[in-house]
Amino acid sequence: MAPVAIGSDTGGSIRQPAGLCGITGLKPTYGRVSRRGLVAFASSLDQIGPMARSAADCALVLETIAGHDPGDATSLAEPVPPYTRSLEGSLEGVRIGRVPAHFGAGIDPEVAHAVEEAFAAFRAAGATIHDIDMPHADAGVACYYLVAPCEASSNLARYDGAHYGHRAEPGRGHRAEPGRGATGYESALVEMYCRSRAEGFGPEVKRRIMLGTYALSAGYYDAYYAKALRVRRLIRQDYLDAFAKVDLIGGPVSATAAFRLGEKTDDPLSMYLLDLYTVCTNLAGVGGISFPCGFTKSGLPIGFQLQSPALAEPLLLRAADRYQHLTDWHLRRAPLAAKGA
Amino acid sequence: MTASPTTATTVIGLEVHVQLLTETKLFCGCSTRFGAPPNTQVCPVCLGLPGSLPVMNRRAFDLAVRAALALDCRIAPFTKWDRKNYFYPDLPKGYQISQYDLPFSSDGTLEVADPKGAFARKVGIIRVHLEEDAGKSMHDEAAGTGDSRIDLNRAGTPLCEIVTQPDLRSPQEARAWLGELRLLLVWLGVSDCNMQEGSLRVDANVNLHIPVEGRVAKTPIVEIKNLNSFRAVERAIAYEAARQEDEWRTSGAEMGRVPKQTRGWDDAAGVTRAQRHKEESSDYRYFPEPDLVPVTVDEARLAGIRATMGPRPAALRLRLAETWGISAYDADVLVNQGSELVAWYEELAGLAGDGKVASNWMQQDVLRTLNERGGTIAEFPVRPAAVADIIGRIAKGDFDTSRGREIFAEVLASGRGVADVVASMGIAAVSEEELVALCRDLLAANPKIVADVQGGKEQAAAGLIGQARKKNPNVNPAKVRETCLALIRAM
Ligand SMILES: [Zn+2]
Repeated sequence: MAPVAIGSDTGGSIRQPAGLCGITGLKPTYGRVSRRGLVAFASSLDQIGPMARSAADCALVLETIAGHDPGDATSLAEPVPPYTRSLEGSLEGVRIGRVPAHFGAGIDPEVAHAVEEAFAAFRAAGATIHDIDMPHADAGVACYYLVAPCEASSNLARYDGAHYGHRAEPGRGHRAEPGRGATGYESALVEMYCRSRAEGFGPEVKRRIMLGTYALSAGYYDAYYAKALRVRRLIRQDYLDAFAKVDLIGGPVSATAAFRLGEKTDDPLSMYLLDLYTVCTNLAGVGGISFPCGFTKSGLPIGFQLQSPALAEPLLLRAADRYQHLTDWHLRRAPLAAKGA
Repeated sequence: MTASPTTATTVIGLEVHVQLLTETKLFCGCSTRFGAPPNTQVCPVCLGLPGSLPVMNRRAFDLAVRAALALDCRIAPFTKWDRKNYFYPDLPKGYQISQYDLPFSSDGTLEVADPKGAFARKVGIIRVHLEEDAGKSMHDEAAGTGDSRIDLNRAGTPLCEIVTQPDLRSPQEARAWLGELRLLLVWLGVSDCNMQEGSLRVDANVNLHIPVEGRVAKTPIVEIKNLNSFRAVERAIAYEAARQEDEWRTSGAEMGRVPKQTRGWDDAAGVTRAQRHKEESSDYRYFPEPDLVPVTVDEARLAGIRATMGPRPAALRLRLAETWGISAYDADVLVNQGSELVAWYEELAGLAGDGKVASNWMQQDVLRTLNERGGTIAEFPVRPAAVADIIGRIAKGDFDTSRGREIFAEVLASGRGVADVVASMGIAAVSEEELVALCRDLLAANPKIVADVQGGKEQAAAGLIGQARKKNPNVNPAKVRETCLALIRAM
């Protein structure tokens, strides 16, 4: 329907859908694309990036949207390289890291197989593959599900019914309690806040607001938010250490292929664990790209992820583009989708 | 209230919010001008619309640093922003961008001394930090009826919060210290400190230390809000000290056993009243503001700001007293009027060649007229050179001080030059011969006064002066007296 689109990636929301749907999605380095105009969820993690059929198309879009914005204090001032021209060149001598822990319990064998095949293709293209350790990666999901909800609980506070968004109709209070007035709320203002937000937000957003509000509360801040920031620093250090040894890090995007509609929505915790391979990219602020590397027997797309140091998008895009010259996974369509077309 | 003499010490700490004199807001380009129609100085950033992002106003930051340097604060080389989260209709984002654990400055002092020596107090500054102001709401939500109105023109205006140690010991000291703070901040162009427009807001923390049976009992700390003038600060603290002493006598409640209380000052009734508990127990869930980057301040930047500051009021008082030989009290009066008036005074003192006489003219004539007319010294129609001219003519004996004042008043009223006014008023120096002739006439006409003076009552000569001025308004009274006495002695 559209050759390219842009999305926002807070913990994997460009790369995972791209992987599950068989397209190419790029999360640039934090600050590479201005966040101005983006409805903020978690400000320190949010990043805008392209979704397209190929890495070359992603390069074209990034070249257009990247750059410094004086209206976003966190946007980077570094000049924007010509990404489309940086696609030229081989992968000879490029070192790609492989994290053995990515292939542990929980990963679908079909996904593991396709990802290993992709590593083999990179090796055939001249890259070298090196096993590396990301010692704090297993704390990534826990860290992410503190940092992101904390920031979200604050970013979403503005939807209070007073200025912007949904405002509940007044006077339909129902929680009458002694000493709380006829409507059951301590004031008309509190009623407007409570009911506007109760009606306007969905259950997952409410869950995250509650999680964040709790973790930032007096008495819990040190145990949760402050600790999450310390873990985040350790994860960032993991990347610095890894990128001293390798140029890129490869691996799966998700442990499994796409799940059925409504299959996991009743179990938030297992949903959160799906973010295992993508959240650390955001916590570290580095770049990541996801592209198709095969299909399951049932015909569902499987994605491969490459991550790069901050501002190394030229190499990241070149590696993905080289792979897409050697394989045609990105041109194939999932049978289910083909049937519907 | 308590009538018995008290041995209690009143312990006071202040929290002062000062609006910085910037053209634009702290995180967007909207104007900070006071008095515009509601919601006309707003944009997506200060309205907190989704997708908007703050960008720091460097000029506001530098002004705040200027204030902190003037208060002898330590400036942090690295400072960050934090979000203070709470829901209120005048806070469109649902959080205020402020500074929590790493304020840009801390550990300062500002001294205040009563010029008559009643007290001298060095007040510690715990911290000075920068934050954005909220909007203004006018509502009736407590009653559950009526519309609430919100004006966001003020939302995002840069505020400096200055927090003192509990070092002040009386309502008078608190008022005087605030006066010194205001003088300093206006002096440096940091703020206009206009309390009516909300550019300066004060909260006072007050408790008592009462010696009792060999130890000191401390009453629970009360924070007084809604202090709309320096007079209100003084009255509210005095009221609160007396109220706390009464309460202590009845309840014996001490600090730590009851939580800190917030009371509002009712200026009309002259009392403080407890505020609803809801307003005191807030958990603001502070965390670092992820939309902004930390600010670093290097020595070169500080040196640049320091270079533009000039002498501060306290140093200037000493210098004026030393340079021009005036009293500490006179130096205080002049300096408290601001830097422009001091410059005016120093020009006058230099031209007149006499700092004391110049100081008298400043206080008795210039300042008095200025207070009557209103306006600033910059708008004053008479220049220092004209006053110096009058002072010089008096010193030469052309006329006396009271005649000089009449000339000053005429120069002020007509806008003409001193020489012109002197000529048109028919003022001419009276020659020695004229004076002697006039005195001889007077003595001949007043034998009783002559007899009194001869009898030893020299003060009787005063009766001749009024008569002399009636005959010739230009005569110098001192010279009339001198000449008459000499003539009588020679009889
Ligand atoms: Zn604005």
